[in-house]
Amino acid sequence: MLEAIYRDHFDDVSRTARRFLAGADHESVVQQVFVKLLSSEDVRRSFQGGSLGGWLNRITQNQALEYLRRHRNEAPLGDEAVAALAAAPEPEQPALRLEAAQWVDRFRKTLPRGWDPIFELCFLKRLDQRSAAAQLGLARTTLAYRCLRIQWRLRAALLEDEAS
Amino acid sequence: MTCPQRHLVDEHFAHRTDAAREQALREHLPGCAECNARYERHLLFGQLTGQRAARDRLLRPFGLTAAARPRWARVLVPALAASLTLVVAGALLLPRTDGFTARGKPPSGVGLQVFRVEQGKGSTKVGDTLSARDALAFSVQNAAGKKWLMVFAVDAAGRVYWYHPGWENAAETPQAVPLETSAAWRELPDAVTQPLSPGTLELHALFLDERLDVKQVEASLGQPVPGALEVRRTVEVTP
Repeated sequence: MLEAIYRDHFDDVSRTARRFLAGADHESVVQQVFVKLLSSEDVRRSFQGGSLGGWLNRITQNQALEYLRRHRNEAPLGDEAVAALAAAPEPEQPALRLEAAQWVDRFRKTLPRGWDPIFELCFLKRLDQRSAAAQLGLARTTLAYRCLRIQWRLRAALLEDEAS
Repeated sequence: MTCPQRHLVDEHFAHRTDAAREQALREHLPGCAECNARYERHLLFGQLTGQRAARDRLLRPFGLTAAARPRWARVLVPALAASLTLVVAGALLLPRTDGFTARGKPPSGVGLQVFRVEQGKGSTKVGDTLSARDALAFSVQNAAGKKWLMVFAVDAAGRVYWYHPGWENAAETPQAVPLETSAAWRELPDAVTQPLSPGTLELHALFLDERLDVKQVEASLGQPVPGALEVRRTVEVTP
């Protein structure tokens, strides 16, 4: 039952949390919402019927505000500000946040000649390999191995060499 | 200076954490810029490669999982259980015999892991048997600095099945695939299903300095390949 709730409502909880937080903070709050559901009978009992999604939305919002208060030492948001955040149109999540976009731009300059279109299609636009290969006029196996090598380079640049 | 808690971040993204360590991570992150930055790097890597989606990660330490990812054959899903590591046999291509033979002290630095990939179930290590319908996927280790790789299988009737490179078009002559030097395990793309015949099957991985093609290797089966390191494993294919 809880697994079904997790599966069906994860995206909505994530979207609500993203109105307030980003990155690791956002993921911490999303996790906290579902862990509370798992571990706290009081929380589960607080659902009195009606829209499960709406109830989860309120829990997520409260969790996000609690997180902000506890970790950011910011002045608490006033009621009007909270209401405005919650009622705002769903923020269009940028494909990459600014710092990440700048990192990616630098990374692309390190790729061998001719690989940047592969990176663009397969890693940024998330096109499947068959479609990307067709668009670029490459054999699929050639594209697959170049993707693999790009992935290795990404891993090395992001996770194995933090001096860069 | 590296934060001593940094391993908590890596373990989270490797799905190797538990509830207690996950909680420790979440308490640590807001106060540690270094670990937060590393977490963000992992997120960026996941965003670019399509791996490690949040819904697959966040509640796993607490025993909750989301639905299995529909895309399973395109990218190898790392095995959660310990995998079978094939140890390099020697510097010479051994004559074809049943089973695994080592001569002298096996050189270190290369390895091959073999997984069976099942849609919706992830991947598991291959033991002594596999089904003719199994999709096989591989990861390799190359601290020895070899430049090229070929992975293929030979059945009892002498039929050769190519995994890497794939050989789908008889008019082409695929060549060995490139290798990075790395002591870490690297996943090869794609889980591949071959029309295997029941019976004995020898899996081969050739780690090469020279870029051979599939026809050269098939012509020289059983002969030594100068400078190559070979990994070999015999399995039984069931219908």
